[in-house]
Amino acid sequence: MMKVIRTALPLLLLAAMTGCKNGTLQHEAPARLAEQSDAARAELEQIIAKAAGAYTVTLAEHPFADSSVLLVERRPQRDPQGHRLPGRDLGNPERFQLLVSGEDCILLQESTGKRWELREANCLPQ
Amino acid sequence: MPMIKDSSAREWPRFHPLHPSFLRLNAIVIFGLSALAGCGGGGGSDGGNGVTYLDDTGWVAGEFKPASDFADRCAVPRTGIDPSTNSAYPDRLGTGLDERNFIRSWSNETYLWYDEIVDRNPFDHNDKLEYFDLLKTDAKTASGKPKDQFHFHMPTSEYRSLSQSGTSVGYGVVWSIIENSPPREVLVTYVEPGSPAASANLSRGQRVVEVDGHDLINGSGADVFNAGLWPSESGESHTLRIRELDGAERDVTLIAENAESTPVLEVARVGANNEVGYILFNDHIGTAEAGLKQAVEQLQAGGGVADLVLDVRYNGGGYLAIASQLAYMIAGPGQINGRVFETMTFNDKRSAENDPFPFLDEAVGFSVTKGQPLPNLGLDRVFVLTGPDTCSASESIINALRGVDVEVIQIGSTTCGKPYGFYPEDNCGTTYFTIQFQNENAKGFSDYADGFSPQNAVSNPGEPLPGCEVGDDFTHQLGDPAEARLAAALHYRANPDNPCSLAASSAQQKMGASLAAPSSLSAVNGRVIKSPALQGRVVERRE
Repeated sequence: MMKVIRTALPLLLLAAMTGCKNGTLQHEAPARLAEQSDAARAELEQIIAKAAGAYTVTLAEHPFADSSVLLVERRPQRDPQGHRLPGRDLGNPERFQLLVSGEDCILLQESTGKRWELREANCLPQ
Repeated sequence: MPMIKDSSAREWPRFHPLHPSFLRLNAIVIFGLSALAGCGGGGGSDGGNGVTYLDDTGWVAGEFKPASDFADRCAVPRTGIDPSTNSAYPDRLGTGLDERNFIRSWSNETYLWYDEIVDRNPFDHNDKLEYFDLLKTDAKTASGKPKDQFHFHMPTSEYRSLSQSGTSVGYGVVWSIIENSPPREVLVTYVEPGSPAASANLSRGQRVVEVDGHDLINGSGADVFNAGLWPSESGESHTLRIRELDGAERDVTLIAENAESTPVLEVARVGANNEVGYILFNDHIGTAEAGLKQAVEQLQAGGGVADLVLDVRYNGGGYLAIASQLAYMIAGPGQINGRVFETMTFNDKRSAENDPFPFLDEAVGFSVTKGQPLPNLGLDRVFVLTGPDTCSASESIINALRGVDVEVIQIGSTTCGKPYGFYPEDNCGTTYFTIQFQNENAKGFSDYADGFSPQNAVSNPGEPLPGCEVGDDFTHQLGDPAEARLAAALHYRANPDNPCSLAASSAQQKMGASLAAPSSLSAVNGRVIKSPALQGRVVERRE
């Protein structure tokens, strides 16, 4: 029994790391959005807002169009004198990566390792 | 700017049952009855340690209960799920007084100059936001301006909103407001590549004369101007009449989008033998880590540079890590020699939290793979181009480099003067910003609340640095060696015996500057308004 577990465990881990669909191991690769759509954008905004703990998220006009990595950070705010808030930010942006695994398009939050399979997006390897 | 109103902000008639003085009397009576009855109930309770707070009866000047006793006790508790935690809001039913007590105690615990706050009874102030505005020092700087210009609050829902790095709704143009009341002067400061503004051939120095058919210079309709210059929704369309530097006018119709900014907008070699590096650095955002690394690598290629001109005239700060990395890349490890970038110094109650912040010599993983070593130029002096929008983390670069004996030569005008920082605090839907720490360089210096100024500055002088006062030049593109501030920097290094002679001619021009003539745009000082600024845009009348 232990021998079976010892043999199966690395395979299961490999499957988890690389993605598995219909019994076939899928290799994950950095991706970009093949096309921009309102639905894909809305899905990304909803997932990223929830993952990053934001009330709302504003994405660029063409997210993931040129890069598989997307940074989100505090929306630029200014005080009444026009000074940036905060001027000394001790935090860090949140990084998300787009991955493609077979036909699946996956969003990865790098800080937590959480992943979401996107239903509305169409991805291509970068 | 939308504001969350304190429910207790209402003004009641003097003898109305809900007037504060009437409530105070009632509270005392209730407290007395409760004490007589020995029941210990009555007003609000902390629900944990048995301490009871009865309206204003707990207030004694100079005595403070822990802020945590009042936290999340809200006049109007929010319900549902807090998006920032994905769990229920922590709010409990409390009173406006609880909220004012919270900010009073929290200010006493954390404000850098807590002992300079005049302690006012929170029961005498109905509006928590007005009360918060009073919880700061009234002291002045050496130049006479308020020592604390950065006390601020905003709805938490605004503060806890995110955007893709450098993205905001607009046309991809940054405007400068030279004069915000008639006769108004609004100029193009710079344009982001690939933006709607770039497609419309907007460029630095062009002047806006009409917005959607309304005369911007002398007309009324500030709301129309602000809506047209700073659209709030992607897809909005506005028509601007633009006056070119040669006086020709044309209409451009711009459609707003979620426009991205490029934090490192220009990297070049200038000087007689291309021996001087120039970096235009506009924002300490996440993507700047990669942009600055690439910029320094570009300047390193081919044997490095003899000097660097760092243009931060429009850089209001942001991530401190980015400032530290850039300072490292300018100076290099030999010059830094193990010293700190700066130390965050808190008030004497929190001195145990004083925290040294190092020069960062490797990527922190914002937009470059974490741990990658950063290049460096190994310079022992740097020219910085500055203005009133050079603020906060940008000033940290200047101060930190001085702390490790890098000579900082300043060309331009006085910086904003913000050697401070804060940890914003959320309570009951409002996020408060109160100054909590001051940033000292490796030599222990942080006294630049009046900003840094070129030593010959006559306007708003602050901490003097070697250099020359030069107005902003809108007749040349940023990075053009003929642009007045860059030209003055190049002149300074080429003429050590008379370094500010070129700048002096610019200053003379500035004195007589009238913006009616395009040539006068070579030496002006306005404020850059990067979208989305909250206030201080275009107004109807002179303030």
